[in-house]
This record gives sequence, C-alpha cells and structure tokens, in this order.
Amino acid sequence: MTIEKFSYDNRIVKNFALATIIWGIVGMLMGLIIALQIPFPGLNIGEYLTFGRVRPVHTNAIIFAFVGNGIFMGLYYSLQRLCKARMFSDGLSKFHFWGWQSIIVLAAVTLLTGHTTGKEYAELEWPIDILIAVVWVAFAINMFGTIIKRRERHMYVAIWFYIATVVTVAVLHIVNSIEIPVSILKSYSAYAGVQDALVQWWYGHNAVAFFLTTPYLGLMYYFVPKAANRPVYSYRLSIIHFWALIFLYIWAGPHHLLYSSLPDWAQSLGTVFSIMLLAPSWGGMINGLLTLRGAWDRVREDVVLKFMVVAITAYGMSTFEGPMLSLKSVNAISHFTDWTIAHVHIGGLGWNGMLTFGILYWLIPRIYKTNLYSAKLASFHFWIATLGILFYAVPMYWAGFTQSLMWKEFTADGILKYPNFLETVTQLMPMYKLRALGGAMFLTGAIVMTYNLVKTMKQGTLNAEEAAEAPALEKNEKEHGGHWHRWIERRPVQMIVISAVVILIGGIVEFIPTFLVQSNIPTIESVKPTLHWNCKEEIFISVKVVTLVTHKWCDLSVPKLNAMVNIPKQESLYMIIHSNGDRSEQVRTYIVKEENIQMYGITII
Amino acid sequence: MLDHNYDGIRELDNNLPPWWIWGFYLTIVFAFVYLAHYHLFRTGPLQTEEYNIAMQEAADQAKARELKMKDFVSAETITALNTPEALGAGKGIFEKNCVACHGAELGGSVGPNLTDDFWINGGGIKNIFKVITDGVSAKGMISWKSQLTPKQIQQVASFILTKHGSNPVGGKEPQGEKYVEETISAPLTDSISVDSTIIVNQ
Ligand code: HEC
Ligand code: HEM
Repeated sequence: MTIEKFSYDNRIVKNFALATIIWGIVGMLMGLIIALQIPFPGLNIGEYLTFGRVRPVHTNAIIFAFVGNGIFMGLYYSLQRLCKARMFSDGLSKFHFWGWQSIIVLAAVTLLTGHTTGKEYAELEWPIDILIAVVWVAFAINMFGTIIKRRERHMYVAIWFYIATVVTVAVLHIVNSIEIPVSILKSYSAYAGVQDALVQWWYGHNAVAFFLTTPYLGLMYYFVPKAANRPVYSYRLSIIHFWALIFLYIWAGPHHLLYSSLPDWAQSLGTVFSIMLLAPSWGGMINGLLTLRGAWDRVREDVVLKFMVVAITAYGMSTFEGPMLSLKSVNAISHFTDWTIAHVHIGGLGWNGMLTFGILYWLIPRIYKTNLYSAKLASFHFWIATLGILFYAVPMYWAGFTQSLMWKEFTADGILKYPNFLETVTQLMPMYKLRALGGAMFLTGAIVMTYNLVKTMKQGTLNAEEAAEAPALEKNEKEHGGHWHRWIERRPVQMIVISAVVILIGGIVEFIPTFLVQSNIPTIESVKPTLHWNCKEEIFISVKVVTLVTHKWCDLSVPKLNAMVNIPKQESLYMIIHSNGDRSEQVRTYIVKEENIQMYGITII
Repeated sequence: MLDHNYDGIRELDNNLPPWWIWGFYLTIVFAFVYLAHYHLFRTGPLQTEEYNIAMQEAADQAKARELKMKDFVSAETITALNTPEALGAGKGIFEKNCVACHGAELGGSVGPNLTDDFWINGGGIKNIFKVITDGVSAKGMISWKSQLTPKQIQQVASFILTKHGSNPVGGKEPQGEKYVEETISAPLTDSISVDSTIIVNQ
C-alpha cells in the first residue's frame, strides 16, 4: 500500500468564505432597507431603490449569494477531506468561484434596473439563467471528479446530501427556466396559467428544499461532529432520513398553491407529502442534536456549538411549522399574511444564518492556523443574532394573525369590516418597525463577525496548500459485507443515478396529468386567457402602493397579466396590477392617476 | 460505534427512536386517510364545494338580514332619495370610492360619464343601483356589494342622479344608449349580472 502525498486547496475555501461574508452583509442590508421602507415609505428613493426592485435583490442575494457561497465554502472544505483528495480541477474551482460571483453581480444589476421574469426565486432573465446552468455544470464536474478520484472507499452521509443537491438543483433550474426570449433581457416562460404555477412552485419549494436544506444538512453532518468532536448519533437514521427526505420533498410544491386553480388532487398531494416530511426532517434534527449528547457542557462555552444548536433547533421548528402550514385549514389563515414571512425567517435566519456563522467561526481560524481573535465578540454576535431572530419572528407572527383576522372580519351588515386594505396595513406599523429592529440586530451581529474574522485572518496566515497524505484506493478490493447500504456508498455513479430517479418521480406524477388532462383545471367563466408575447408595453410597478398593499411583491409584466385580467389603458390613468409574484390567483387591481404615479414611485417603461 | 472514520468523524448506530418511527408511520397513515377521505370516498368537501357552501351560507345570512332590516332596499324596491343627509352621505361615498374612475365631477375617465343622458347599462335609479351592486367586472367596474350596504348604494346612486345634466368640463363623450325616464318600468337589463365568481368544472 503506497501512501500518496497531496494537498488540500484552502484558497478556494477562503475565497468562498469571503464571498459568503460580503454577500451576507449586502443581502441583509437589502433586507433591512425593505423592512424600513414599509413604515417609512420616503425611503423609496428614485427608481432603483424602490421596494419592488429591492425585494427580489434581497431574496436572491440571501439565497444564492449568502447561502450559495456558504454551501460552496463548506462543501469545498469538507468534500476534500471526506474524499482525502484535492478538488478535481483548480481551473474548474476558479471558474466556479468567479462565475458564481459574476452571476450575483448581474442579478443585482438587472433586478434593480427592472429586468425580471416575475417568477419568484427565478427572477433572473434568460442569459443569466444560461450562465447559471453553465457554472452549475462546471461545479458538478468538479465535485463528481473529486468523488471519483477519492482515497476513501465509502462516501460519508454529507456527500450523499451534496450529490442529491447538485443533481436536483440542476433539474429544477433547467426545467423551470425554459422560456422564450424576445430580446436580450426579456423572455416569457414556456408555461402558462396553472401549469406555470405548478412548475414554478415545484421549483420554488424545492429551491428551499435542495438549496437551503439538503446542502446545509450535508454541512451539518460534517461540521457538527467535527466541532463537537463527538460521533454521529445514528448511521441508520441518516440512511432512512436521507432517502425519505429527497423522495418526499419533491412532491410538496403544491402546498404553495392551496385554494387555487390547481386541481384538487394535486393540492392534496402537496398537503399529504408535506405532512409525511415531518419525520424525515426531524430525523436530521435528531441526528444533529443527539450528536451533541455528552458535549452539552462544551455547548455552554463553545460559541461555535451554540450557533449550531440554535441552527438545528430552528431547522426543527420550521420543519414542524411547514407541514402545519400545508394543511388547508391552517393555510387559509396564513397564506398572503406575514406568517409566511415569519416561517421563512426562522428557516433563513435561524437554520441557514446561524449554521453559516458557526461554520465560519470554526473554519477561518483553522485555515489561517490561528485562534479566533475574540471569543467575547463572537459571543456577543451569538446573543444579538438570537435576539434579532426573536425580534423579527414574534412581530411577524403577530402581524400575520392580525392581518388574517382583519381581512375576514364582517360587520353585522355582512360587509367587510376593513374593506380598505390600507387599514389592515396601518394597524401593523408597530410590528413592521419591530421587525426592522430585529433585522438591524441580526445585521449588527454579522458586521461584528466580519470584524472579528478579519482580525483573525490578519493575525494568522492562510495555509493555502494544506499538506495531507493517504493511501491510494486499491483497485479490485474485495467487498466485505457490512450494512447493505455500504454497497451504494462505494458507488458514486449509482448514487447519482438512483438519487436522480428518486427525485424525478414526484414531479413526473404531478406534471403529466396537469399538462395533459384539460378537465383537471377548473376555470372561471369570465376570465379568458390570451397570449401576448409581442406586447410592447410593460408596466413595472413598485413601492408605496405596494407598501400599502403588501410587501410581497414582484415586478410583473403586462403580457403575463393580460392572461389573467383585462387591462384597460387610458391616457391619463394607469392600472396597477397587484399580485404576489407569479401567483395567478391573487390579482388586485388599482387605478392611479397620472399625477400620483410620481408619488407612488411607479415606473412606466 | 461503527468502524467508519471519515476525516476523524465516527458514527454510532443507535436504534431509531421509537416515537420517531411511530410518528413517521402515523403521518403515512394520515396521508392515505386524507386522500381517501377527499378523493376516494369523497366525504370531505373539495374547494369548489367548500366555496359553494360558504357562498350559500353568506346568501342565507344576507336573506335573514334583509328580513330583519326595515330600511332594506333592493333593485326592485329602490327609490331615489332626496334628503340632504342621504345625498351628503352619497357624496362622501362617491368621493371615497368612485372618483378615481369616474372623476370628481362625475365627468368620467376610466369609467363612463355619469352626468349625461347616455347609459351603457341603462339609466334610472334601478339600473344604477344594480350596476353598482353587481358591477361589470369584465369592463373594470367592480361589484360594490361586499363593501357598501344596500342603503349606502342607494345613497350614492341618488347622489349620482342629482348630477344629471351638470355637464362638467372635460367630461367624456357619451357612451351607451340614450335613456329616457319613461322607460323606467322596462325590464332591467340582465347583461350586467356577469358574475365572475362562478366556478365551473369543464
Ligand atoms: C376601477 C374603476 C372604477 C371605480 C373605482 C368605479 N367605477 Fe363605476 N364604472 C367603471 C367602468 C369601467 C364602468 C363601465 C362599465 C361598462 O362598460 O359597462 C363603470 C360604470 C359605472 C356605472 C354605469 C354607467 C353606465 O353608463 O352604465 C355606474 C352607475 C357606476 N359605474 C358607478 C360607480 C360608483 C357609484 C362607484 C363608487 C362606489 C364606481 N362606479 C366606482 C369603473 C369604475
Ligand atoms: C418540512 C419542511 C417544510 C415545509 C413542509 C414547508 C412548508 C411551507 C409552506 C406551506 C409555506 C407557505 C406557502 C404559502 O402559503 O405561501 C412555506 C413558505 C416558505 N418556506 Fe417553508 N416549509 C418547510 C421548511 C422550510 C425551511 C427549512 C425553510 C428555509 C430555510 C423554508 C423557507 C420557506 C420560504 C422561503 C417560504 C416563502 C415562500 C414565499 O415566498 O411565499 N421552509 N413553507
């Protein structure tokens, strides 16, 4: 047996870590801006910094820039060590890094200048979609190449999650982004109406599942046992919850379309698969938390573990809440209200945010061969971030319930008690202010972390090429028994193929009948869909109106809306179409006089 | 402890917690029961049915209220009001809800001119009451019955009539048919009862 010498590439890990920190601050700052724009509409400055433009920048920056780079940072660090191999190709690593950063910059510029497809979390226009696909494939090759040339016979559970992530995100992105370009920065989705909604939320929900959840579970499986120096609680639990999770998740998308024109059977599938997701999700939480068994005394002292405990707990909370929200009776209360926003931020701030911070505090000192600059500051960060989450979530739950109750309250005469939507918004102003405070606290924590980590980097030196050695894998090694699952852990190709099959089933079962069977779709007599792919005019809408209406807002183009409502256009008046992104079921119309357009910050292009 | 060792990470192989396994089974049973309840035995109401039940309930309640209400008006029984209080209330309602489309002087913009002799949906208090109540949603005039009581609709309709012939500056050109008061007893046009809320399964 020959021992091979090689080195781990820590420079790429450092680059992704810096990107995570920088984009994290940018994304959170964008979030703070939109949070403040609601109680203080004067902050909608000019055309580019209006709520409608900044909101998608916030969501994209957090998901794809902050969490995305966080995934790559943790994955490039852990994959090399779990495979006992350097990344497959330094060139691909670099291409992946710079490609991803340029996508982020392009995303910010195009969204702020009003170029959007209007599909939530898939707002980017077609040239950027292509770039994303190219960079993702490069990343996939780099990752699978590393796995193929590994020096560790079996793939650890973290790698199963990475594989499922890379495969599924590719499928989701490509299928949902099929669109017909009409100009360099405008395209229309190939899907329309309820089919579009189904594809969009199959994508949207699984963006949550396979971008915010499975890769982070992979990171949890590596960094939690590492930081706690404890064995993983249960191998067999990791097997069953992994396969159950990736199989069940893909079916759950329709829970975003309850009480819509989506056929009832598809809605019901969304509900029951979400309920069945509860146990597999909690399987991950149990495996994370119980790995810390016997290390609880250390949790009290070690800030890294503290961040991780809060992250895993938040994961458990949002994956309990999610299935509840998928029940129609609960969704009838929560949908369109700030309850959803509260739910999302337990997941986003708690699970993704806190885990990222924990990993950063663990990893930076290690690759810089030094100790953390200040444990005190890190502890301060932990507390202000935890409080920030509470200050964010509690007011939003409150706001959600209040909205829901007010929207449905009738007077003795049988008419709506608050027919004017604005009344329900002004009522919530104190909650919106508190939420902004929570966000500001969370951001403050992140800024303190940045300072702390920069100081840490300054006092150490980057160990860019970390020397390592391991015996090469022997060809034709005899397979010795063990658990049946060891079979696939030795076979990356089979792992890729089988997980691809497992994640394709749900989508196929839901798509085919919805696309092919006309009688599936309930129709509203007076609404006649039309297609206007060559419509010259687009009205991009933003801000104050939106602030008055709701803060869930995406720019929408007229052609798409024409398919849903009849829009009269007058010389002096413009109709404002309000809708929650792509949700065709929620369209409100407003008419605003021309002189108010300036005041409302509406841009007509 | 298993013999696994990945970069120093070891794995235990604890049994699955029983509450977790049973919880998982329970959710799977729930899934089958749920699907059977709604789609096999059809014992639970699906959304169209749920909607129709809710609408029926609302209609029953509305009927009950009509019976109780002394001053209830309907398209059949309505008459124009002329007391200053009623017209003042009507003006207030108009300013709050209708100005954006019909103009402050009722000369029309998105919506038609309400001061001339021409009406798309028929003139006279009854037709006006009916349009405001039910709307012409396909044309952009919403139904106001969920926001205004019949009484309030009567007030605003009466207010509109007082502006007849006021000929405001910049008023829109006439639209629809010339309406002559004598035809007041003619049957109500029913083209306006477009109800966008009826859901049908093709
Ligand atoms: C969103 C714009 C809008 C608002 C707000 C609006 N309307 Fe209208 N209204 C219209 C349009 C458009 C029509 C024309 C309908 C048609 O073509 O049949 C109309 C028609 C009418 C008519 C019938 C006119 C005719 O010629 O038949 C009356 C009466 C009327 N509106 C009263 C009101 C009152 C009262 C309010 C306030 C409570 C109101 N409207 C608010 C857009 C609006
Ligand atoms: C078992 C797990 C989960 C289920 C079943 C679930 C279910 C749901 C449901 C039903 C909604 C509301 C949809 C609506 O009414 O509009 C929702 C929204 C959302 N959830 Fe979850 N959730 C889960 C876990 C998570 C986690 C861990 C995160 C974050 C990391 C997350 C992020 C989101 C986001 C971003 C939205 C907002 C969608 C929008 O913009 O409206 N979810 N989820």
